[in-house]
Amino acid sequence: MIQLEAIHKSFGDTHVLRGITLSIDRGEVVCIIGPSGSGKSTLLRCINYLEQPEGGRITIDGQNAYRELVNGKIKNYPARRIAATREKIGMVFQQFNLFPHLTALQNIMEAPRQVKHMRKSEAEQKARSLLAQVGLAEKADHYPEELSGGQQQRVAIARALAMDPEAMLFDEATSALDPELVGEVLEIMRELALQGMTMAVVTHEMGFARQVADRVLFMDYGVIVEEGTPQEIFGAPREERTRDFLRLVQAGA
Amino acid sequence: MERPTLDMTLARESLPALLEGLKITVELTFIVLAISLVLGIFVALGRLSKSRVLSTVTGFYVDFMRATPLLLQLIYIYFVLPTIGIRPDPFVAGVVGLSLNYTAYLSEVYRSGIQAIPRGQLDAAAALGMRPSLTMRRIVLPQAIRIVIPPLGNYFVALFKDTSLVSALTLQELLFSGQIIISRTYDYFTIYTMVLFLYFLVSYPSLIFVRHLEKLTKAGYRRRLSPESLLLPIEPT
Repeated sequence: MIQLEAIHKSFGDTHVLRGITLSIDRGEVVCIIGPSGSGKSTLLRCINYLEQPEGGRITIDGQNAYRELVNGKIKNYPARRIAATREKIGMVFQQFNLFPHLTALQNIMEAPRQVKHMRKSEAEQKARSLLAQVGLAEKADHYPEELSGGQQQRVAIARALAMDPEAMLFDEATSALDPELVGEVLEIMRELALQGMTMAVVTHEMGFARQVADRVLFMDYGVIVEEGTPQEIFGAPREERTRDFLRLVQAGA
Repeated sequence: MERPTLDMTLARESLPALLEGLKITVELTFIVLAISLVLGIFVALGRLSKSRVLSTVTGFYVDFMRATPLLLQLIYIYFVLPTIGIRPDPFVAGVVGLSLNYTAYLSEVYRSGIQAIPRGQLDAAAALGMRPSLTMRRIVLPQAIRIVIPPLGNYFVALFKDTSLVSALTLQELLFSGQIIISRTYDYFTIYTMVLFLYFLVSYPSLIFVRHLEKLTKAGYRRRLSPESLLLPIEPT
């Protein structure tokens, strides 16, 4: 469903992504692991074009997603078209990024109302059912700052799901949470995976990757060092760097 | 030397004229405020615009207004424009001059408010398929407004006082109304004390009000407590 080809991205002098090629099939759960600064989050942000890579091609269902080459020059599609593509890809952030001036319910209703022009009653019904799905039906009228981190992240997941995305991106969705709140968010992600959602998950939760992923990518220094099934990556990593990383992670756990 | 005393008879006689002046001062303040509050947003958006031309032009306008004295700007509009055939009356000149100046300053307040909204808010909106203009209107501005209310309040008080500069254009606002009485009676002490007192009478409650707003806007976004919920024990958060 999602294809990345030879993606390059730099921030100033730092070459963060050095030719990433990756494809994610419909219904597949891909976990991306690797040390901090390896480019995992940047890669994820390229998928919905929050970062614009200098080089490479992003296609969704075989179509150029955000831009095309015109006479050898990269030309962005108009904002309207880019926004329309992003609608199909939900994203959940490390810092939740809920809209603080809106209640949980309003956060979830905002994009369906404003982007899809859904009727208010319909949007509200949908939002309430999503809130129930993430176990927060009674928090509908709470503002984000009245919620715990885990609750905020669950609202953020509901907000993304309200657009009926075809795929979901999770950018270290549990990294900013207190340890006792991580489980409730992972549980919802696990349920989504079981329902067949296409997911790209950047995570430090090796247990989640091991249990839920169809495929695990190990990234380091802006390249995909190794990829395989969870059994392959966690059971018998081929690359030295993968082994070193897993050893360090497991020592810390 | 004689100790100055308040001439109570003169004070009583002058009060209506001074109140008339105060009325013009207040009118001027509110008209200029309304204009600058609206135009300031557009100038701020212009400065933040991706269009190089728009941001350069609005940036130069703001810098120009900030780099020259307000009194001179007013004088220029009132005394220099007539030489090219435009003759605004003092009130109009005052409104135009003050509005041009305050639009520039308020646009800077708005700009800093807009830029204070974290990048993550823009990312979240974009990821939901919201376009930049929609994000600005629905996500950024509503949050920025709250940030800018206290500084805007302070500019409101500053504007109220700055309207006294329009006395240089012979507009009979509060200060100039006093000066007219003084030119007749030469009682600087009584009249200027009254003028001072009248400015303070309006400014001071406004300052207190702005301080109150500051507290309110810092309180964050929370549910309004219903009267019943006040009877319940406080929920630990």
